[in-house]
Amino acid sequence: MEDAPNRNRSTKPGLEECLARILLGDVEGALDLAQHKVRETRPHRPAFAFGVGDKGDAELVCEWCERELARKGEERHGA
Amino acid sequence: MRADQSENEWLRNRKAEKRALWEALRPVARGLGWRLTGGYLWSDRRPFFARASVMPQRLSPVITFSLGVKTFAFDDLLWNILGMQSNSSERTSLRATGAFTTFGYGLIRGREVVVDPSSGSWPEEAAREIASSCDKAVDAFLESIVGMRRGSTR
Repeated sequence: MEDAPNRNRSTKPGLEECLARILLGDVEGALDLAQHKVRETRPHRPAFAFGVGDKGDAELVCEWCERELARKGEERHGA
Repeated sequence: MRADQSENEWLRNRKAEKRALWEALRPVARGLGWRLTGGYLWSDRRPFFARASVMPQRLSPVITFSLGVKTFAFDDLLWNILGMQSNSSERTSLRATGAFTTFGYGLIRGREVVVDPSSGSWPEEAAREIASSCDKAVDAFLESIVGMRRGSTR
């Protein structure tokens, strides 16, 4: 089950900054933000705004960025 | 009607007042190219999507609204990361009403419209103010983007 996001928060700044960085091509920057800014402050549950299943959104951003960087690395090797 | 009496009325009739606001807001918004779904005003301005939450306050005759604008790609990317890719092909209003969505770039945050519940025309007046404020803010934002693009090609 998904955790309902906190509806009292009108924004999810850290998460949205990650998304913006990814869309601008800065996947490493998004990964860095998700790994450090959140994990240092909320190590028990690395989440910006909400969780999906047993994972926080920040964790999912990290995993997605790691996969994306690995894919790009493979593409570079293959080229 | 005294001010505190008016506030008591608001508190007692909140459900009816909410309904009156939605009923007034829907046609005004539609006339400006906006839709109203589940208390959210939204407008499809591809590649942008604008959404405003409109919330009558609980204890006083005040309506608060906030407006954000985002690209469609913003929610698509979020859903991709969260493993909810199928949301991208759902109805457009999901980008306004969905719990797992982004707010985007904030154009209006918590602006208040104070209404006089004793006036019969308050829903229409509030609806006009809210819808036109949102529409103007989005137009100005999109204009600024066009201006930036023009500037970058010089």
